[in-house]
Amino acid sequence: MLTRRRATRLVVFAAGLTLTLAGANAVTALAADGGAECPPNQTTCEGWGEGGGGTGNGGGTGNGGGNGNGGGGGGPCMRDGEEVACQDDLLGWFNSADGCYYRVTQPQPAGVPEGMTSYTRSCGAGALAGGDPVVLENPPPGFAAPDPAELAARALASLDLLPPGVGIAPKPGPNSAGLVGLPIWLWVPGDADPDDDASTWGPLTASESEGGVTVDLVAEVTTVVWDMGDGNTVTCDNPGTPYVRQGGKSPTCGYDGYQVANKRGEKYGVTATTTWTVTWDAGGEEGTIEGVTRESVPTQIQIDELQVVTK
Amino acid sequence: MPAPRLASAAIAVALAAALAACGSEPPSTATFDNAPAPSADPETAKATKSALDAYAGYLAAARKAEAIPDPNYPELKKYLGDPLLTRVRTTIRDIKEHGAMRTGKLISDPRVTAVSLDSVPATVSIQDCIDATGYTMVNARTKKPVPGQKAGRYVATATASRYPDGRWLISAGLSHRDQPC
Repeated sequence: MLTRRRATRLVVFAAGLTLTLAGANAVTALAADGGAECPPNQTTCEGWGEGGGGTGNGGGTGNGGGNGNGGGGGGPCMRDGEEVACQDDLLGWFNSADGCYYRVTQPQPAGVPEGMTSYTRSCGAGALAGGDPVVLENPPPGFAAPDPAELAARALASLDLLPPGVGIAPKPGPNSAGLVGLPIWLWVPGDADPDDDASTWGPLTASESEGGVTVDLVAEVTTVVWDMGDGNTVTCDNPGTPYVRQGGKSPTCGYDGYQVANKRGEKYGVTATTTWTVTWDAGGEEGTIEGVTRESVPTQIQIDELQVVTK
Repeated sequence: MPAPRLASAAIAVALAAALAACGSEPPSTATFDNAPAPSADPETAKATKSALDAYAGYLAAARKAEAIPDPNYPELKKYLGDPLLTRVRTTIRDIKEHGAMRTGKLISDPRVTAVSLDSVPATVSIQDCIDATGYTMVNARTKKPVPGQKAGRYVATATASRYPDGRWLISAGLSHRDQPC
């Protein structure tokens, strides 16, 4: 038992040593031995049958925002005589001075001094992402982090925020009418496919990455305003409850009842407007996108006098 | 509430003992000898639980992300911090760019080997014996296994760090494929 325990410690120690070595000499150590640098859930970071270490498929060539201006010198971004992307969606921005990509460490770890920023470096060719973080006062050469708000806008644009449907009782239609003074049920019908990127209520999520900045965005309806067509509005913070036959008032969202019946040939036009609360998080920086609303098409319902009572 | 947790801890210990006993391979599974006693100190117990929760969350999120595959899968950053976050994302991107995905089951048997609450950041070290026998990389279109991508059981190590907002995330980790368990 004693020997086993000692051996175990040795293994742990050896693992630690590997880490230290990798950190100290990232470029050469990792390039030579990409397979040893897999995350716990991965054992096959390198074996794509394209020459082991994967030169050419790491580093993000072809993923980034193209070979724009960058790398500190204004010219193309070069490493070991080969042109590389100046920017990579996941790895960040290329620093020509040391051949590493830098991204702002997400989230910022504990212990970063005031006024400093931790950057995560990815050095060398191949699948060598995420080396030891470095703490710097100023961004490295070539670093031009994108505006997270712009990424958030892009993420929002990738989602389909649908206008609400109008669920209402009494039922709209030629042979259906409600009565004056009786409660009206209001609801936004659920999504046909709850798992896709289109919804009338949400929550929907999307994320965008560029230059090592990842923005996660959540969009969800927080209020729906029902314009009843008679000058009154009803505001609800929930999608409402579909009508069930027992009658009475809706437990969640309803209108107390119309005071005036329709004249012959007229109807009330009911419109629902949803207000979406859109929040984003860029790992340290957060924000909201205001003023996102969707309006339904008007639904016509007919309200008659309650004749039995008023005869 | 404490009772079931104790029970699962006991199962974990039993499993660990079983694993340690059956291996004629080079020693690769940690024993609990140098691990902190779970109930010794409430802070340590809390850190241990938070770290193991984050680790389990990471493996689950990574599995989902690799099945799509989507390197920006939002749940990843709920459990991962850099530099491991970036590394996991790039490995998923590699899978995606090669037209592959992963399916199946990844069996994990993690234990805490060290807790350091005085360091900045505070850290918890985790050692795992991952069984990836049933976790295969397949061609995303044909669903046929990608040749040469088999993995068995191997030792993995990970570090959970406490962040300024109090969250525990897995910030570093390695698989040690040369160390079966």
